[in-house]
Amino acid sequence: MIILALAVILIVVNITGFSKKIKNFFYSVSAPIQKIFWHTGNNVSTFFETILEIRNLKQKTDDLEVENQRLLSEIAKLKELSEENAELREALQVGLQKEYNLSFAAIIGKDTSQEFIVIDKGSDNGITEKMTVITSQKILIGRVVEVYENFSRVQLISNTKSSFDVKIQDKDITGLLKGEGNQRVLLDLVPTDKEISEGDIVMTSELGGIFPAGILIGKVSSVRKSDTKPFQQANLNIFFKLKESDKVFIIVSLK
Amino acid sequence: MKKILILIIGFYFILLLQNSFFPFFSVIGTIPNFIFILVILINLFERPQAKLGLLSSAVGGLFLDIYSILPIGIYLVILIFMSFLIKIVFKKYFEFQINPLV
Repeated sequence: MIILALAVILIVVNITGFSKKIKNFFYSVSAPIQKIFWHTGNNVSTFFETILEIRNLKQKTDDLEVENQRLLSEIAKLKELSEENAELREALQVGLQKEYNLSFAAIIGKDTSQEFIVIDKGSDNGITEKMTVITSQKILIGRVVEVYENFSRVQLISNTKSSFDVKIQDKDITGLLKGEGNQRVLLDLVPTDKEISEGDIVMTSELGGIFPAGILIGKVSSVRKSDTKPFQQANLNIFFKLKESDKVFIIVSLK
Repeated sequence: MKKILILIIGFYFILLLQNSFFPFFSVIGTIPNFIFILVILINLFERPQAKLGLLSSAVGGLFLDIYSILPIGIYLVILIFMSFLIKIVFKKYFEFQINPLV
């Protein structure tokens, strides 16, 4: 009898949408604490990573010195280019704010199932489902899948349920990007006659209409090609690192 | 009553830590579900006739539901079912009395 009553209550709560109100209430109450935990976690992990890195410091210093020399010479070249670039940028009005209407939000937590993040903006701030979430460097994070009054849940591109069209920068190659969990993604359905190589930059494509075109995703790390299969696959290193970001932008609309 | 209050507050903070602190210390991209582990441990180490295990399943399940994308009730049902299962297995196969911690 109790079980039956419980089942009825749960079904009613979920169907009427009351569950969203409950979740929103709990998120509102715990948001300040979660923010503190998120920042502390970030600081503590950075601290430990620094300690672990000490062993490799000598080798790293040597490598960096060599690289430093090389970079110094490049800087001279780039300075000239940057002046030119600044002028062009102004002329073309390139920049995130110029391309999109953005809303700014902070990450307050990760979902228990690990492939979602929770951000502190919701329907009260004009956020709706399917909106694209990016970083300030125009790197794709994912898209909003659930909206509460003051919070939203964002499905990461590495989520196993995520798949969308992408293209390779500067090449006429399109493919399908599938999430594989644990911050891993797979580039699939690339015809074998197209040449992809390590280091190629992958970005969103206008095909499919899920994300706006031209948002950065990651770099090709390895290519899997087989003569028996009509398509080739590639593993990507995604640019978005959860550990390094706590602020995100939501694309409210295109300009 | 005191135990229940400790259970609710304790589970709440563990869940917040799990969602907002431990993602930075993931191993191969994943972190363990501490609520799950805790509920199993309470169920394993309590007296067979005690009810704390069942209660912890309900509280833990509810919190997991609230902070996940799943509809409310999924984790709740899974954890309560698991709690019953542990009790049934213990009753059937373990006749000896171990020193219960809870």
